[in-house]
Amino acid sequence: MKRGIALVFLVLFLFVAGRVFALTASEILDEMEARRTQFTTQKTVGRIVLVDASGKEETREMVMYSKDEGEDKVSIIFRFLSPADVKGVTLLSLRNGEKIYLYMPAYKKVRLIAGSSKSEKFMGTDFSYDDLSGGYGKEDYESTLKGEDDTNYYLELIPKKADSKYGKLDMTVDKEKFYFKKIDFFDTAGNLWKTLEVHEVREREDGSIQILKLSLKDVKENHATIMEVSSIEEDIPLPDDFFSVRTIQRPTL
Amino acid sequence: MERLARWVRKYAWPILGITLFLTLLFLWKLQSIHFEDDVTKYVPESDPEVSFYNTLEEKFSGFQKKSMIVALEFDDLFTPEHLALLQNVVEKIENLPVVQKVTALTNMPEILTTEYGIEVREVVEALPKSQEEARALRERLVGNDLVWGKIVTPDGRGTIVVVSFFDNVDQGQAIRDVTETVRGEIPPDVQVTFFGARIIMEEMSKDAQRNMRLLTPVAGGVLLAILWFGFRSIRGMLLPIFVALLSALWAMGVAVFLGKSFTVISASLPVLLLALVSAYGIHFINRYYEERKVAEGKEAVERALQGVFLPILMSALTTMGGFLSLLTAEIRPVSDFGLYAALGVLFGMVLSTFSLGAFYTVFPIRYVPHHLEHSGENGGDYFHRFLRFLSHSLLHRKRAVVLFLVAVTGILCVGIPRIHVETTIRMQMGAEHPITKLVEYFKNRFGSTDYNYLCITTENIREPFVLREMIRIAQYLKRFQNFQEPSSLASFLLDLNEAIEGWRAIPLEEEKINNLWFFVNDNEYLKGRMTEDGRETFIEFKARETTSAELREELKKARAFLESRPKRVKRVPLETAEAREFLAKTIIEDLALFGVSLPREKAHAVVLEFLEKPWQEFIRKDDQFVQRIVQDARLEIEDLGLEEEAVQVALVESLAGNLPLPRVLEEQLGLDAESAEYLGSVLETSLERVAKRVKVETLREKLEELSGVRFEKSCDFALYEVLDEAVYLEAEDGDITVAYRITGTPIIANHINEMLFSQQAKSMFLALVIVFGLLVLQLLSLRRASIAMVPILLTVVTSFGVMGWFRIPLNVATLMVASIAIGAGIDYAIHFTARWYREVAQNPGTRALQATFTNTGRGILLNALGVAGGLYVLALSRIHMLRIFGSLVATVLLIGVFYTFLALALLLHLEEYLGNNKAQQRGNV
Repeated sequence: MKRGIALVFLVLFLFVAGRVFALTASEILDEMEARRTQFTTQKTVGRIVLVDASGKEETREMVMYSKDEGEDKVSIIFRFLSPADVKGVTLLSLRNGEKIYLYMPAYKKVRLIAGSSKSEKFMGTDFSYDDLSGGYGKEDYESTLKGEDDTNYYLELIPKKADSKYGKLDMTVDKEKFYFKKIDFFDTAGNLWKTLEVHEVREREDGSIQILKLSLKDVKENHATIMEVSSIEEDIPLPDDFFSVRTIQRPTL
Repeated sequence: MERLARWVRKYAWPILGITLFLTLLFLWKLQSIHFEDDVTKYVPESDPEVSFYNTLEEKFSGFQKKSMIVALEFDDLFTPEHLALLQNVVEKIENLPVVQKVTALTNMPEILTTEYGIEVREVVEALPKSQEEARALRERLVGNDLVWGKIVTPDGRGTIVVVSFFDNVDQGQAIRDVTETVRGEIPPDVQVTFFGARIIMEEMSKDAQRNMRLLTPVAGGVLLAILWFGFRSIRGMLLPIFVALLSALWAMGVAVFLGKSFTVISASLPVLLLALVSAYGIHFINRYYEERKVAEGKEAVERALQGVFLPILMSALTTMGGFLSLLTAEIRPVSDFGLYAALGVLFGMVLSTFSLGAFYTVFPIRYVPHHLEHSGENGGDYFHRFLRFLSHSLLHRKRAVVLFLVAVTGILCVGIPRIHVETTIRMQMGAEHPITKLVEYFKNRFGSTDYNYLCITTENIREPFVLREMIRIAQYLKRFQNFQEPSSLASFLLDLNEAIEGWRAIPLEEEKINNLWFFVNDNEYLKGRMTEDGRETFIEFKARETTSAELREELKKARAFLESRPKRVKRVPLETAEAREFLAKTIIEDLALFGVSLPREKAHAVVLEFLEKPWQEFIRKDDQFVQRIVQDARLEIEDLGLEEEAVQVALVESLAGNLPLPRVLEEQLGLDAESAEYLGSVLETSLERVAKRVKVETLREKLEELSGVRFEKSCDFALYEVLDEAVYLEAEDGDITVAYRITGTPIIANHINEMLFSQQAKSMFLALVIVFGLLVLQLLSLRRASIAMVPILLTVVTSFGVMGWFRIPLNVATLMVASIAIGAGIDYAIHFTARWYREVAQNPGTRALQATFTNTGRGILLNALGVAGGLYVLALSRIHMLRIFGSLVATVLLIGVFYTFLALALLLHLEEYLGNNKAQQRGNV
């Protein structure tokens, strides 16, 4: 009888302890944020592969400079290195696309691309400027832990902004390294729109996670973009006026 | 024949069982009947025009997407509430999983050139919140050619929402989803209309089925009345109609089994078969009643079958011959109709003999109806008196009859060249038909709904020569109704170059084209307009509805223009006098394309003079020139935190004193050396751009003086060619080749129109051959068969003459009239001829003719009235094409009867007279 009572208590303890020690969705997002690579400036060299509906691939090599402007705002200079027809075409996006300039080397001319929505595609990829800003913090999303298994947490994120183009995000988070392995983006009608998958990461000594390869598939358009990073330099010294119209006109950045 | 009759008698029950089984089977199968009236499927896919059109869908993802249009009509669109409602509808449609893209007033993108650069924005950036804002929006949009009159109606009340579906969706279901969604959002005071090729096709299909459901019973009713007049017995009245209905059911069932779809014209099949096939049942029952007077039930069936099987078979074979001749037509609705109708006639023949024979074997009649027992050969009714009058007139006024026939034939022949082809929706469906009204509503409110395409094949569509040719060709074709509002990659690049460089031209530098292409690659809509290998593209034109003759004429001119364009060229630097001469000529020709008329020689000299001057000669030192340079570089100036005025002063000083610009900038603006170097190079680039603009503007002024009119902005395309540093000369060893081909649904419809005449001739000739062969077989004489063909030939002339005189156009329905008239009308000639020779063997010619008229003539007349009565029912159809078809076939058949009575009777009598004379002469000798 005593043994029976003990067993009941043990089960109850394990149940309550499980509840007490399990992370909440909000805590998981905080942990992910903590594991995100923190940098002020960054230079990334890599390639983008665009895959169209018929499976045809088009590879573009690129170099990208980015700077954390604070308040979740990132400024970017993005230049294509190849193929020849886009070589030298350079984009300057200030503070998450508040202002976007494009330099076309053949015209020796910079043009302001005004009014482009942040939900528009970025340089022909399936990423929007919003997608590139990267964070999925609790400031922007209501989060719910929908389940977990040995390796992953499964979160549901609902955008707080009323004008968000997404209705919800289903996120799979790696339990050990706290990075998102996969995100399914749903439109406001609840239909699957895009799937973002992380294929390769590098864990740094401080425990932060660098994403080296990811893909984003637009399910509706049947179009995908794969981004592969070949090198990353962080906190590189850049002049104050680096993210400027002048810089993007230079033959070498 | 006896064995066959015995066989039917012996296996009466199994025959009835099989008849019932097949009827149930086809009835079940008919549930999956499918209508399709897509003009691109009218001709076989192997047809070069159609196969080319179909390949476009595979090559270009942006071509002919599954789509539909939703039109909304408000009392005034430009109110905050209505615009919000529109926005809401657009969002709801966008959220449907089947929808790929929605284009509407609230989300249309437009490229605007601002003083800073390109502004890619939506036509309606933010929804108006007040009536004033809504009014201001309306005023802004009135001047927007892409929106006003196209997306928004000219009165500002209506607007359209264009919905594109994903490739893999069931379009019918997708349309239903959108329809339900929109209806759920729209209040009752807003008029909503749905449009699209698929919607039109479904409406046509529904109407065709409605047509069948409504008209078949009416035709049945008409025949019932005629049969009641003939038999006065329930069975005698119902069974021929029942047999005819079964034959139609079987024919359509077989077609469904074969996986065939039906077209609007097929909807007339049950009525046509009711009219034609019921005659076989009537023949059998008539004969059965006749035999039943002298024999018991089963014996009467055998004797009736022995008597009528062969005539019914021959009649069916000739009619089938007419229909089967339509199989030679390469136009699917026609050949399909020929097949279904021939099958229907075959089944009608089988059912009228085997099944009716079996039926009367199992269910014999006890008594012959009273009135039939006394039906003498020479009844004294109106028919009889009329036919006697006719034969009497023929015998006593032969010359008048001949003159009458010659006159009528002559008049009809004059009408034949007036026949024209017309396949517009209005002609097919009728002016009052809802589909015509729907199509015309969209055309009147939002412009055209049909598109034509010019397809371009080359080595690389980025080649400036090709892009420029696209602009030139589009500009030329714009003068035609079928080639309005061209849009292409080239026109997009033209807009883009204007936004970036400041002028509407296609640059000659490949690097610039590549830079512009960056935008093309980023845009699914534009990418959908080129093949993956970058070798093919197309120009899309809106096609306004024209008559077939106008379309043909426009196509002829368009093709002649394309033929005149260079197809193989090489790029040559503008170094030789010959190259400059060529470019000057090109510029003047291009200006002519844009509607500028110039005195050739003087204009040529002016252009040549400008070609020889370098752009540096157009650098000015005045304030206005400098101001333009600063304006061009204002983005960079602003980025450096400098004042435009200060830069302007430095620039003036540099130009006036011929001083190095970076040094002046450094000294005057206090810039560091690197910044001064950078700004100097930016300003040098702007200076070149401005000087080039001035060069072109000066040329424009000179040419405007010569022409006496101000040039439109679009002339920039030609004027800026003066900056070119190379030309494209036609050369056999040229490495740039280009080929053009025109297509589109109106073009395919025209192609079908052109086929109609040849198909008509082919099928009619074949029908005549088949019928003549069967006549020879039956009459065993070439001469007699030739005589019997005369009324048919006259009937053919009549059908064309009537079409010509009454301006009835040739289309997929009227094309069949002659062949059907031959197939069905020959029966009258066969019956009349056979009876004549029988009578003339026993009686003198005059008596023989009278007997033929009053006996066989009566049957022919009654039968023709029945057939025509049934076919005239089609005149009640909502579909104009069927109304004309039914009335024309019925009228031509009736006229054919009179040709039999007049021309054939006269010829037969003449043959007998000449034969007697010869015999007499031989006797005298």
